[in-house]
Amino acid sequence: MSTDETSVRTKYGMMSRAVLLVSSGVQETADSRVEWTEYRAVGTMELVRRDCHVVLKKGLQIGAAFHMQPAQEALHG
Amino acid sequence: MANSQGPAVTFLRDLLNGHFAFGTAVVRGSTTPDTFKGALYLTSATITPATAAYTATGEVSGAGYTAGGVAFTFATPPAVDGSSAIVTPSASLTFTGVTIGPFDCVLMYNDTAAGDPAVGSFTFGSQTVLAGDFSLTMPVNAAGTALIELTS
Repeated sequence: MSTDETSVRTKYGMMSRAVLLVSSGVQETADSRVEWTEYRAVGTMELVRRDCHVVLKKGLQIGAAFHMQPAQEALHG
Repeated sequence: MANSQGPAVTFLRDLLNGHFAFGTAVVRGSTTPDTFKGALYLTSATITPATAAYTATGEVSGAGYTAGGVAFTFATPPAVDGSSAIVTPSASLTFTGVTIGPFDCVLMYNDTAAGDPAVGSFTFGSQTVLAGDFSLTMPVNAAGTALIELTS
């Protein structure tokens, strides 16, 4: 969603950065990192925009090993 | 060097390329890659590995979001990395100017194949986006981290 140096698009349309408070945070787990940014109106503190960015650290790992028969396992120790 | 048992890693790669069909195969219209999409799901939804196909049930809705989600970009085809076959989208999945949530899951599915069969689901911390952007950045395309990895 478009923004520029002086304004930010919000639920009310474009608002000047001068009337917005910006905060951000990070939530990290073994599988992902979540970063968010919140824009609140100065005075009312109403949330007028929230962005979120998720970084996946790993995907789906599918094991494909061929299974050995018991006799083969015995032979191979 | 002794003989050893195991799947050919090129077989694993070519499973990802759709080169093998031990059961009844599907008729493909062309040799071009399929289109894969990512759809977002509410925290109240029940998307699991048992989910066989895309469903609109539990999918997020709201301003700027189109049901079915958006397409993944694959600039790099499946490849071999060590003893694994890997493939990862080459760009982030991006939703711009949306109001959605709370959601915590994206379902990857084949939008080309009949019935929109699922590839898998990925979860993360519950999020809400308000009149803003959501992006999902892919992991490193390497053994141990790739988005899809078949390992022997």
